[in-house]
Amino acid sequence: MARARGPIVLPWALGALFLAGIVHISSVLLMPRFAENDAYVRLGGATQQGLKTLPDASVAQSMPFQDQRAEYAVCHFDLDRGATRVRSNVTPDALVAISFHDRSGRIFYSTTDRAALRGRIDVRLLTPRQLDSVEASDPEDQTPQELRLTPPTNTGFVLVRALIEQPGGREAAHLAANAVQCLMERE
Amino acid sequence: MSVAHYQSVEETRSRLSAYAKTAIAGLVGVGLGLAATYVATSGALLFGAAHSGPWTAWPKAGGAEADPYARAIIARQAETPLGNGEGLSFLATKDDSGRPLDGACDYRIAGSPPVARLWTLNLYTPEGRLLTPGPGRRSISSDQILRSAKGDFEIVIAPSARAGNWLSTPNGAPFAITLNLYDTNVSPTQTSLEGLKLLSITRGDCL
Repeated sequence: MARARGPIVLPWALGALFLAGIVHISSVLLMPRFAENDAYVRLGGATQQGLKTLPDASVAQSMPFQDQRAEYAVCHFDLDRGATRVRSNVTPDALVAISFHDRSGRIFYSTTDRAALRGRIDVRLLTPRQLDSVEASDPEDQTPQELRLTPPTNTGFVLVRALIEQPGGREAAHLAANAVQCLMERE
Repeated sequence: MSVAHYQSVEETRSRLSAYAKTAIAGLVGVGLGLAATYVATSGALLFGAAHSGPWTAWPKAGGAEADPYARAIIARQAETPLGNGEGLSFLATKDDSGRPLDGACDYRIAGSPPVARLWTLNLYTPEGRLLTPGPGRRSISSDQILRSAKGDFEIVIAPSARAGNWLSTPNGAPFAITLNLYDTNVSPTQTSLEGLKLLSITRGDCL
C-alpha cells in the first residue's frame, strides 16, 4: 500500500497544480474588472460630474506614490451619457500633465501642456458611434482642431496634475489644474 | 456474505475516495491559485522593470500596453502611474550599496538627472503612503533646489535639520524615494536604462 502511494497521489497533485494555474491566470485577468476599490472608485466614481480638485489629504489616501509637488484634479466620464471634451484653452503658468484612464485605471492616453497640439490641450472622448456621427458632420476641407479618442471602456477618468513651480507656487498650480475644462456634450 | 455484495462495498469505497480526492485536489488548486494571485498583486509590479543604479522604473505601466499583472496591480492598489506622455517615474527603496533606506540614517543625493522640464523628489513609506508630518519637508522639485556656482547640487535626507536642500526622514522607519521626470527626453518605451545616469543615493552616518 505505502509503495503504491507515490504514483497514486502524483496525478492528483498535478491536477491541483494545473487547476491552480488556471485559477491564478483567470483571477489576474479578471481583477481589473472586479477590483472594488480601484482608482476610479476612490476618486469619487460615477457620482462625480465635471472637474473636481482633489484636496491633498484625499489624494494621499486615494492613491499611492502621488507627487507631493503637484495639485490634482479629476474628472469622470461616462460616454453612454454623452461625449466628453477635455480642454485647456489658456496656456497655464504651471506644468500641466493629464492622463486618461479607462474604467480599470489603465492609461490609454497621456500628455502635457507642452506636448499637446499648439500648446493647448483639446481632447474629445467618444464612443465609436459618436465618432462616426461627429466625422459625418465635419466640414470636408478642414482638419479637426481637437484630438479625438475612443477609450477602451465607456466610463473612466481623467487625472490632471499641475506641478507646483516657483514663483507662483501652490496657488498657481491650483489655478492651472482648475483651468482644465471637462465638459459632457449632451447629444 | 456473497462475493457480489463484497465487491459493491469495495466499489463504493473507492468511488467515495475518488470524490474526496477530487474535492481535496480542487480546493488545494483553487486555494493555491488565489494565493498566488494575492501575492503577485500585493507588491511592486512584477515585469517590465528597468533599473538604473538604485532606481527602478516600470515604463510600460504608464501606457495601454501594460501587461495583465500590471493591470491587476493598478486596479487593486489604485495606482495612477505617470503616463508615457507625461514623463517617467523612478522608485528607490535601497541606497547605492543595496541597503534598505533607513530613517535613522543620513543620505546624500547628488548627480545630474536626465534632461526634463521639471523633476521632483518625494519621500514615502515603502508602500507609497505619505509619511507622518515631520520637522522638514518631504518633497522637493528641481526649481527649488539650491545649487552651487557651478550648477551642481546635493540633497540631504536626514532626521535632523541641515542647511541647503534638506528633506526630513521618518525617525527610524524605513522609507522610499521617487524621482519623477516630467516632459523628459528619457524614452518611456525603452526597457533598458543602461548608461542612464540618475541621482546617486549615498548613506552617511546613522543614529
